[in-house]
Amino acid sequence: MVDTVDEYEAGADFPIPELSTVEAGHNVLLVGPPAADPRSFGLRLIGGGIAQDQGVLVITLGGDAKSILEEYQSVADSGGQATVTVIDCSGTETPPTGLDERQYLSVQSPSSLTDIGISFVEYEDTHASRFVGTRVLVDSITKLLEHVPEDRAFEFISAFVGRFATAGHLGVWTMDVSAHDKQIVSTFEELFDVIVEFRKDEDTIEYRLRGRETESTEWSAVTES
Amino acid sequence: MTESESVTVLIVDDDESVVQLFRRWLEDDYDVVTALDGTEALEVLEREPVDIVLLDRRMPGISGDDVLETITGQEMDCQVAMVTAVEPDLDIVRMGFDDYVVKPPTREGIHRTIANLLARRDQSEVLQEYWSLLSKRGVLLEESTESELSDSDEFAELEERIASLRDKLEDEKHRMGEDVEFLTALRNIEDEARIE
Repeated sequence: MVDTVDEYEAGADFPIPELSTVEAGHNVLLVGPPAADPRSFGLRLIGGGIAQDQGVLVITLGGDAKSILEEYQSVADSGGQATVTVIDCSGTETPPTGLDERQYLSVQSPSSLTDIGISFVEYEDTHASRFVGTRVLVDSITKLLEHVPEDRAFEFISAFVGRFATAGHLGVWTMDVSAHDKQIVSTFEELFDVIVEFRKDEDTIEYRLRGRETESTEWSAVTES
Repeated sequence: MTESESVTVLIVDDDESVVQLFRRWLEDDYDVVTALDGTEALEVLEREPVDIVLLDRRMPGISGDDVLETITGQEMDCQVAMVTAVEPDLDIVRMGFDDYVVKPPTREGIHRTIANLLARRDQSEVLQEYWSLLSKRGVLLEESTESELSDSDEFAELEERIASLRDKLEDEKHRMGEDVEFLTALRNIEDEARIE
């Protein structure tokens, strides 16, 4: 069993005050159109406010490890770069520049569900045990659905959500709302403790929260300090 | 699975004393069939429905691994626990079995393994039902007005069922803490996804 924290802190400049702390073991879904870029909020959530002894893992199902890593490095707290590991599900076997081989795990395809799990368990064995608390970003459910039938994707996410919950990790997941029927989005939302919805209206990105244990909020603008 | 439904367990081992021992341990609770080698095991599997196979890995002739390959290759609807001399490592999860029993087996260990397998089968069914009810609710939400839904007994029942399944899944969440449990669940999902 891996040591963990009671709650995870977002960085001081994270623009969604409702997520300034997230309970350990909780899974947060960030859902919105690409224009609102939910992933960038996910990267800030896992990369900001990290204590030196927390681990960070990015599971990318979209084959863009390089751009994710670059974006992560631009938002992560100091020390964050050293503690990030990427599970890249594109079949690429060499890590992007700036990433040590030990910080890189390769999976053949997003449909290789068992291998994603094995890589995750390997990550926990080799890395997570060194840290107190681990933050995981899974980007994205939309990419998973391009490779796996909906009902099986649901079960897969359910297994990982359960795994993060029992280990006391922070799970952050993204989904592109414009790529799916409303009904599919609402079905997947059921798996998460907190759902943050984003939308973009002209130049303003707005968000609202929903969740089982979270009070729903009205739409409000993301204001960067 | 309810208690009243009978569960058939196939015991495969080339050591007859092991087979007899397992039979004694299990026959009060399950329907037991036995095979003393791989060939016989495959014959049984072709002849009758089997829910769970306790499969010795090392046997002369057709080995346990070969039998397992046939079971997974033909997508037979049974769960397999390998009986092995060593604890399998993570890679072995890929082989396609659902659980394992480390030798020497104990009565308690065997019963626990079978109970786990049955619970896991249940859990997968619960998840499938949960998914399908949520999808149904999504469609209703999309196509009905709020007042239609609040007046509908059927919708209220649906909501209740969803809540009870969610509680059930919450209770079983801790299962995912175990590596083999977690990876086996993923492997089963991957297998099912491939079939679809």
